[in-house]
Amino acid sequence: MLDAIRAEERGGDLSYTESQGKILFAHYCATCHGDEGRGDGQNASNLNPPPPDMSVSKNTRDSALLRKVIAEGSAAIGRSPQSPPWGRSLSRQQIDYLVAYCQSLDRKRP
Amino acid sequence: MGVAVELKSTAPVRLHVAFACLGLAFLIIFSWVLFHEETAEWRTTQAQFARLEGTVKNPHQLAESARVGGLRQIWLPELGRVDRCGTCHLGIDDPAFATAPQPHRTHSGAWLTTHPPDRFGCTACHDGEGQATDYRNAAHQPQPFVTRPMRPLETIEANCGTCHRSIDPLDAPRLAEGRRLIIESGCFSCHDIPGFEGLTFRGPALDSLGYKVLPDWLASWLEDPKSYLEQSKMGNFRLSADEIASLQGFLLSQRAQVPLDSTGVDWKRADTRNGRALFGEMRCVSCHAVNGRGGTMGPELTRIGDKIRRNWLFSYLKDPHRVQPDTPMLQYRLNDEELRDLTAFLLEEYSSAGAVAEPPPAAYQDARAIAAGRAVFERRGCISCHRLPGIEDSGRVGPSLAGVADRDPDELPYGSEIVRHTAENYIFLKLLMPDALGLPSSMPTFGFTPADAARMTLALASLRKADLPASYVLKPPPPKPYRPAGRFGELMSRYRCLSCHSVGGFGGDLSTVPLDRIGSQLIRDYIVTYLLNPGAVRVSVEARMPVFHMQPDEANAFADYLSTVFLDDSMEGYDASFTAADARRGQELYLQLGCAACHQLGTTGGYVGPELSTTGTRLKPGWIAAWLTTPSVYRPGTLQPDYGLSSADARALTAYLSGLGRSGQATASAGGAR
Amino acid sequence: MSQTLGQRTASWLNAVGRSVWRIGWPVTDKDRAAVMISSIFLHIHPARVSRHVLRPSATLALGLISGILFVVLSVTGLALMLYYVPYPPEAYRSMKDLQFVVTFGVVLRNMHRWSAHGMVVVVFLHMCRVFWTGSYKAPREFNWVVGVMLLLLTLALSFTGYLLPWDQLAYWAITVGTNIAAYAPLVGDRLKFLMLGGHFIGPMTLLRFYVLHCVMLPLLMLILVSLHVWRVRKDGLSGAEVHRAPAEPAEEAAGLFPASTKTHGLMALSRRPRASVEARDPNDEVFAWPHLLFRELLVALAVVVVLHVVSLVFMAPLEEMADPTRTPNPAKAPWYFLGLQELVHYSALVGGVVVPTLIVAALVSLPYFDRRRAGIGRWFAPERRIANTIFTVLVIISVGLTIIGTLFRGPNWAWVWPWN
Repeated sequence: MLDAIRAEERGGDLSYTESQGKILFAHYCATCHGDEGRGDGQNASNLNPPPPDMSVSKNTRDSALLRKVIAEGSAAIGRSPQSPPWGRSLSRQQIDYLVAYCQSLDRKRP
Repeated sequence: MGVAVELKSTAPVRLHVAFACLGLAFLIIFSWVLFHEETAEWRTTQAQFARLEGTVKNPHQLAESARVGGLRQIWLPELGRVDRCGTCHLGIDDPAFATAPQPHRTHSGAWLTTHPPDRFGCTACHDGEGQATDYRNAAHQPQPFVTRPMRPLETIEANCGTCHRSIDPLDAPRLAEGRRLIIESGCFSCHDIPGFEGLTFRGPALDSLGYKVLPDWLASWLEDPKSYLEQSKMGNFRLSADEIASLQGFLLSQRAQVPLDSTGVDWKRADTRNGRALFGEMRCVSCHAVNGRGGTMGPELTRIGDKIRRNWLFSYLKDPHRVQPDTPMLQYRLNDEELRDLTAFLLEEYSSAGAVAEPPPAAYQDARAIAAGRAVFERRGCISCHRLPGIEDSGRVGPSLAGVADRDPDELPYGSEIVRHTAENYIFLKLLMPDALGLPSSMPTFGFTPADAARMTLALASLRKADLPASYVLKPPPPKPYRPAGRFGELMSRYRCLSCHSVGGFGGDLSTVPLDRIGSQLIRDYIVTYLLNPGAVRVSVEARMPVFHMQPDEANAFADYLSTVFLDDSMEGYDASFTAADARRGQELYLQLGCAACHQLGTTGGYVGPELSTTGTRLKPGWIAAWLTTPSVYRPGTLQPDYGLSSADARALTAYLSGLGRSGQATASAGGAR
Repeated sequence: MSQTLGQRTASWLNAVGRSVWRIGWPVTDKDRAAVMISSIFLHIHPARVSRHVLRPSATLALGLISGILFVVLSVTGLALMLYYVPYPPEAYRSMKDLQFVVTFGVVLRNMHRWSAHGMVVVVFLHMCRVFWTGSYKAPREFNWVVGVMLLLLTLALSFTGYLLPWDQLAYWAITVGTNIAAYAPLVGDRLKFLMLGGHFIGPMTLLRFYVLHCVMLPLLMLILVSLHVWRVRKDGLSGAEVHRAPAEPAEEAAGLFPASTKTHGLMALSRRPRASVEARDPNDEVFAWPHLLFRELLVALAVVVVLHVVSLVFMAPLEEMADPTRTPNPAKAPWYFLGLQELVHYSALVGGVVVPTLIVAALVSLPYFDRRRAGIGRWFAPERRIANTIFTVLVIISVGLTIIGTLFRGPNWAWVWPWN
C-alpha cells in the first residue's frame, strides 16, 4: 500500500514535506506556474512578464527569498505584482512545504 | 561415646578452588550487570545531546536551559499511553536543533504547536512502542510482537483521521481524498462504516428497467460495467453467465412506470443540430461526462445510444422526477419539439453503432427465470444501491468496517501476495482485487487505481477499535437538512438547486457558490438575468450553470426570495456613496496589486478569476468590500489572496469595481454568455 | 591495671559482637558443635554429619538446589512486586516498564522466570532421585507424601505466575490449562469457575492468580518445606544409613546403661526404625561446620552464577498484550503441562483427568504399598529392579510426551517436524 502512494506521489523521489508541498502547489500555484513550475500554466500566456522556469532558475536556491515571494508577493522583491501574497492565507507550515517543493524542482528526475 | 574424628580441619583443595572460581565468576557477572545499566543506549544518546548543545546554543542560552538527565516520559492516562520518546529525542521542541542529526533534530513543521506533546504524546500520531527506551524496542522498524510499529510518514494521515473525523481535515490531503473517494464510491451502502452514517448512495431506480434499457446493453453491463462506463461506480460482480441471464430476465420484467406519451412526436423531423445546441446550452457536461470530460454527478453519456430506449429518454428528459423522485437531475422547461431534437441528438451522436432499430420491449414470462433472477438480486445485495419495490432492504450485505484497522492480521487471507501481514495491506489488496485473496468474496471488483485504493485504505485505517475520550474527537455536526416549502421550495425542487449549491453545508458542492448569503452578494436584477441566461463567470471552469429555459416569473420568484432571505447583515447597509476620488484610488490599487494577472477586464487579464468588466451590475458593494478584505473567511482555500487591505483601500477598490459596467465606465461586453 | 583506649575499644566491640553472635567463629570442636544450635538459621543442620553424604553423588544436592531456587524466587518475586500491577492492561504495561525503565528490571524478571522453570525441573529430578534410591520407604513414607504435595505446589505456583504478564502467551496458556481442569466429571465446571473467578479470564482471574501466587501458595509452600526439612533431619539421609553396620543387639540387652533414645539427624545408624545415638560410628562423622556448610555455599554460589548467566543470555518471552478475540494457533499450555495437553488430545476425560489423577494417587500411595525394606539408600539397587524399571519407563513417557507437545505439535495440534 505504501509503495502505491510512494510511486504515485514521489515519482520524482520527493520527501514527505516536498510531496505535501506538491499538493499545495497544484492547488494554489499551478494555474500560472504549471504543475512542475516551468512557467507553463494555463494562465501563463496572460501574464507579462511570464512566470519563470523554476526547474532551471537559480532563485529557488535562496529559501529566504522564496519565502518572501510566497508570503509577500513578487512586488515585495521589486518584480511585477502578478504573484500575489499568500502570507495571510497559508500557515507557516504550508509555506514551509511549498518552499521545500520549489527547491526540489531543479533536481534531476530519475 | 566416641570422639568425633576430624578428617581434616579444612575442606579439600579442590573445593577451595571451586569456591574461588565461582566467587570470581559471580563478581565478574554482577559487575557486568551494573556496567550494562550505566551504558544503556539512551544514556549514550543523552550524552551526545549534551555535547551537541554546546555547539548549537550560545553560553547564555546554555546557562538558561535546564540540565537534562534521566528518563523522560509523557503519561496520558486518558489515552492509555506512556511515551518515553523524549528520552532520546531531546531537541524535538527546540528550534535551535533544526539542522542537527537525528535523533536530536527538531520536529518538522508546526505540528508541535498545534498538537502539544503533553496532551498528545508522540505515539498517538506516529505509532510505535512508546514505553521502550531504546531504538530497536521502540519499533522504529517493524518488530515481532509489536502490533503497531512506527508509521512511515506517507501513511501518517491515517492517524490524523482517528481524531479528526470530518470529511475534509486540514493539512491531511491524502486522508481527505480517501474519504471523498469513499463517499463517491458509496462503500457505506454495503458496509457499515463509522463516520459515514446517514449518507446515502443511490444508483438509478430499477423499477422501469424493462422500458428503459436495451437488453443487449444490460447483459454487457452486468458482465462488466466498465466496458460501458469508464468511470462507473458500479463494480464488476463477477457474475456467471447463468446469473446474468436470469438477472436480465428479472430486471427487464420490471415495468412499473410506462414512459410518457410521445406518440404525438414526429421523430422524422428531429433536428439533431438543434439538439446539439440545446445540449451545449443545458450544460449537460457539468454533470454528465462525454468522451472523458465533464462532471461525475450523473452517468457518463459517451455511449448512451447503446443503452437507452428512445421513448424512455424522451420521457425522462421531460420529467425526471416522475421516474426517480430523488434524482439530482433537474427538470428543464422544454417543449416536446426541443425534447425530441435533444433525444435524437443524444441517441445518434453518442452511440457506437449509429442509429439502430430498437427491438420492442419483450415480454418476460418465465416465472422461474424471474424468480432465479430475483434470488441473485437479493443474494448479491443489489438493493443496497438500487431501490426496487417489493424487495426489502435486509441490511448491509458486507461486513461492518468498525475497527477494521485493528483486525487481526494473522487471520486475514493475503492470497499469493508477498506483503507484510498488516491489516492495512489487507484492506489495500482487498480494494484492488477482492476475489484473489484466497477466500471467496462477494465484493465486486471496482477497478480502483492503486493510488486511489491507497488513499481509501488510509481513510479506512483511521477506523480504530478503541474509543477515544470525547475531548480528543473532532467531529463536526452533520449539516442540517434544508428543505424549503412553498413556491420557492417547489421551484428549488424542480430545478434541483441543491444538487450543485449548498445551504448551511447541506446540498452539493459542484458550484463554488453556496447560497447562504447570495442575496447580499448579487444585485437582484442580475439574479433574474442570470437565471434566465446563465453566462460564464469564470472562463477556466468547465462546469457551468445550465440554461433552464425558466419562465420569467419563476426567475423573479427566485430573485425575490433569495434577495430577502439569504442575507448577511454584516454586508447590508454598506455605505455605497463613493466619490470619484475613491474610484481613482481604486483603479490605482488595481494596477498596483496586479489584479489583472488573474482577472479579465476589458480585453486583457488572466483567466483564473471571474471577469470584472460587469462587476457593477453584478455584485453588491458590501460583498465586494467583505470579500476583498478577508476572502478565506468566505471561501477557505480560495485563490483570491488576502492582501491585508486597510478598510480605506478596500473601500477604494470597491468604489472602482462597483463602477464597472455601469454607465459605460469601462469598455466591456454585456453580461452575456461567453 | 587500667587498659589502654585501644584495648578498651576492642573489648567493647567484642562484647557487642558477642551479644549478636553468641559463639564467635568456631575454632574448637566444642564451638563447632555449639554454633549449630546457637543460630536460628544454622540449627536446621545437625552438629555432625556422616561423611558419606557429603559426596555429590549421594543426593546430587537436588533438594538443596530446589530450596535455593525457592529463595531466589522469593527475593526476585518480592522485588518484582514493587512494580507489577495486577490489573489488566496495566499488568502488561508494568511488564514493559520492568523491561525498559526499572534498573536491573530485565535481569530481575528473567531470573524469576528461569528459576521458576528451573525449579520445576529440579523438583522433578529430586523426586526421581528419591525414588531411585528407595528413600521413600519406611520410616520416610509421610515425607514422600509431603514431597508430592510440594511438587504439586510447585506446579501450581508456576501456573499461577504464568498468567501474570498478561500477554498472549500467558492468557491462552491459562485458557488451555483451565479448560483441561474443566474436563473433570461432576466438579469440572465448578473447578474452572473457582479458578477463573468467573466464566472467562478477566481482571478477577488475574487478581486471584496474583494473590495465590504471591501470598497463599508461598505460605503453604513455606509450611510444607519446613515440615519436609524437619522430617529429613529426624529421619536422616538414606545415603548415610546404607553405610551403617547393624547394631549389636547385645547393647540393647545389657540394660546396665539403657540404650539412649536420643536421636541425631543425618545419622541414621541402624536399620531399626529408630536411630540411636549409641549406634553411631564416630569414624564416619564430621562436623557440619565447616564441611557441610561450605559445600552448601558452593552449591548456592553455583546456582546463582548459572542463573545470572542464563538470565543475561536468554530473554524471558513477552508477546503482544492479551487479546481475548485473537487465539493463537496452536494455543499451548505451559511446557510442564504439555504432556498433559498431548494426552488430552487423545482423550479429554481419560487423558486430562483420569491419567493425572491415577498418577498422583499412585505417587501418594506408593510408600504404603511398597513395604519391602530392600535397597534403601543405594542408587538403582538390584533388589528393586522391577520398581525402578516401572518408574523409569513412566518418567521417560512423561518426558517424551512433553517433548512431543513442545516440539512436534503445530497449528490445530497437527504433527509437525520441528526443523520445518
